Amino acid sequence: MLHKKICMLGSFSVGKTSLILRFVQSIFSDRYLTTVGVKIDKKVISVDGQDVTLMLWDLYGEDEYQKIRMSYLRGASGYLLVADGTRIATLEKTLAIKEEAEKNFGPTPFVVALNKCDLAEDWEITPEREAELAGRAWKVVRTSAKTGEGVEFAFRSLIKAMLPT
Amino acid sequence: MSDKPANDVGGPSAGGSSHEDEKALQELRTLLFSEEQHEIVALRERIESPEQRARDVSAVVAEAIQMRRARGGDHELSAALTPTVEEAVRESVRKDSHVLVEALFPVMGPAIRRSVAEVFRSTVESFNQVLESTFSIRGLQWRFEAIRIGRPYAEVALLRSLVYRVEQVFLIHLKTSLVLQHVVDPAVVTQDADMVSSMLSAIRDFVRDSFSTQQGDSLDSLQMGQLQVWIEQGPQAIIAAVIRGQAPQELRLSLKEKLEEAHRRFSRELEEFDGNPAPFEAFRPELAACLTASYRRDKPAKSRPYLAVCAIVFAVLLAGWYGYTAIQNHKWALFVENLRQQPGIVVTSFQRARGRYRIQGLRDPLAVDPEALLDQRKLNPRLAEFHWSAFYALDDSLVLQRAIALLQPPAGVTLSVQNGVLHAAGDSSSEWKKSMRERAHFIAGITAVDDKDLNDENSPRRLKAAVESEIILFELGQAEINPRQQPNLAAVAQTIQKLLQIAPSAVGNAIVELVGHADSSGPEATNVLLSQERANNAVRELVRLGIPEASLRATGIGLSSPLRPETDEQNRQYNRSVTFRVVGPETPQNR
Repeated sequence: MLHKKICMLGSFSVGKTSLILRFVQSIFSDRYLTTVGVKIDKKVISVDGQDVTLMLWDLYGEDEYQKIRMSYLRGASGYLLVADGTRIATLEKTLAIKEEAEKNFGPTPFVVALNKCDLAEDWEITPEREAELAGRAWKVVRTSAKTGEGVEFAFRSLIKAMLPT
Repeated sequence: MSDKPANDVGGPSAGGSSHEDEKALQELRTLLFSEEQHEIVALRERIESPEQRARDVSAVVAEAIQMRRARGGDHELSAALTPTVEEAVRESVRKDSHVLVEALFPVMGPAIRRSVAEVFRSTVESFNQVLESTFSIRGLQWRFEAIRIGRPYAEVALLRSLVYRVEQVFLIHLKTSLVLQHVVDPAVVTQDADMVSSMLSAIRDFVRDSFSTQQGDSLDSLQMGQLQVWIEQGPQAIIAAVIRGQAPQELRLSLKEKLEEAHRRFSRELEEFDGNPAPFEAFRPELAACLTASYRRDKPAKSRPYLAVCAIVFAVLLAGWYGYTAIQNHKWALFVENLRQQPGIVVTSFQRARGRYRIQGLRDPLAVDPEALLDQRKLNPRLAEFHWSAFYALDDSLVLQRAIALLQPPAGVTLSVQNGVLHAAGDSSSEWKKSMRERAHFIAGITAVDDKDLNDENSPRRLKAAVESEIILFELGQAEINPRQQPNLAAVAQTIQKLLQIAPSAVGNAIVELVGHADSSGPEATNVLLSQERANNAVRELVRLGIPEASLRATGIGLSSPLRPETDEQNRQYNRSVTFRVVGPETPQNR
């Protein structure tokens, strides 16, 4: 069985931990996020007949007080870039984190998850902006940690992007 | 050739000469080195021929291996040969497993026996250690600790005698933090190795990032209480051992060697690791070899005979105490069984607590006193704790006691109870009889009264029988009333008085005839006179006591009808007497 390291990247309070909670088994407390800055979770998933064990590194969301520890990204096979669809600024922040990660560790497969899609009335990311992202040949998925919409699909898409074709 | 100019290199003659020279040189070479040339050709053919090379190596391979082993470093040799040997064995089993089975058969039996013997030996050793620790102060301390923390005694004993134990070993890919291989002691409960491995790597990164350290420095140990994590880092992988207790530094060296071996054997796999840990399965035995442990072994105890003596004395006292207690318990059980048999006692519970015997139940106040029963059975009353509730028992014997206490029957009356029926028999006054009939039904346990055998002591028949049963005795040859017979006469006078009082209504005009008797001494004629005189004197005395003379009649019969045969003086005395007979109209029976 293949083992892969995946990092959850994004601004503070975009819902990374909530996305993982719907998806994985866990033995560590959320306190690790605010102390060590990362919490490890695990998920075994089968994609195209191939079982893959995902080690999910849920990184503390970057904000004005704390930056992401880049050393945690070392050896990751993929990133799940999470932004809050109701706050356009978080998307820009997430993309900035991606740029910095690629600057440190080179190009890495990723999927952009626009979270909180259940709050359609507050949605700030325009269709044009989403189309522009998709136009870069990026995989962009609307997700909702609350309803579960798109969560499984986002992870599966990331695994497909990671695995050799 | 030496006369030829050095710069002359052109012209046909010169060219022909050169050819000839070459030929000559070839001939010379052939003459001088032909044998060596043949050998060189043969050597070349030998080197270039794979079959020949294989033959050459096969001739020396055994010696080469021996030389390598003799030189040391057989670990590398083993490491090199292991994959091939493993593959060969696997292939052999796949083709025909019987070959390997037959080859191993001669060694399997002894190996199994040895394994069983080893297990047995270690079991006996463990048993001895447990016995030793159980009866020692240290063992008692461990036992108290086990009770206090709620863990099994064996676990506490094991941990307290533990020097160190390697509980888990991780081989972790440095770059991805993914587990390549993980081994764990079977006695240890662990968390998910993948997550622990990743978190451990994260913590190492956290520590390195958080504190200013030199390039290349890394976290190489963690400690929490008795638990330590030793970490050794290589270029591609790290090895982490979770250790309980204080491990020797040699263990760290051993971990380093394992890590180096992993890099040597799996350098390509580590370099190209894509998340598939399967190739590192082959390294599992090496990691498992790191799961070592060391336990404290106490010096053999010195011979301490006083301990054995104390143990024996203790055992004897214990057995004695146990036996005494068992006997006492048996005695008390018999006592309680006896109590249960007693009328008016119902034992509802019997138990032993804090060295005393607690007996609880119901007791009729008239039942036997349990304390008295204790004395009979020689049991210590201070050990008894009775708790009785009063009640009325319906046992016949207790009902009878209750009836006697309440009715207080006069002398001559006998009471008995059978199945709740009170039987009264004998003679009593009519007043008592009436009172008895009224009160008997208030006695708990009395359901009916049967007094058909209870006679009225003042009935005419009773009075007549009472008068006729009296006798007045006389001295030899005397007709005078003996003063000692006065009370008898007074009693007879009283009874006759009662009889005469009821006579008019009951028996008509009753006459009491006093019959004088005489013994055989003296002539018959004298005896008749003497007996008549005795009867006359008795009549006079009764008249004096208030009996009407008309109701009395005196008759002397001498020896004509002796009361007793004169076999001795006592019987002869009875024949010197006056007896009484009530005559007159016949009285109805049972009146």
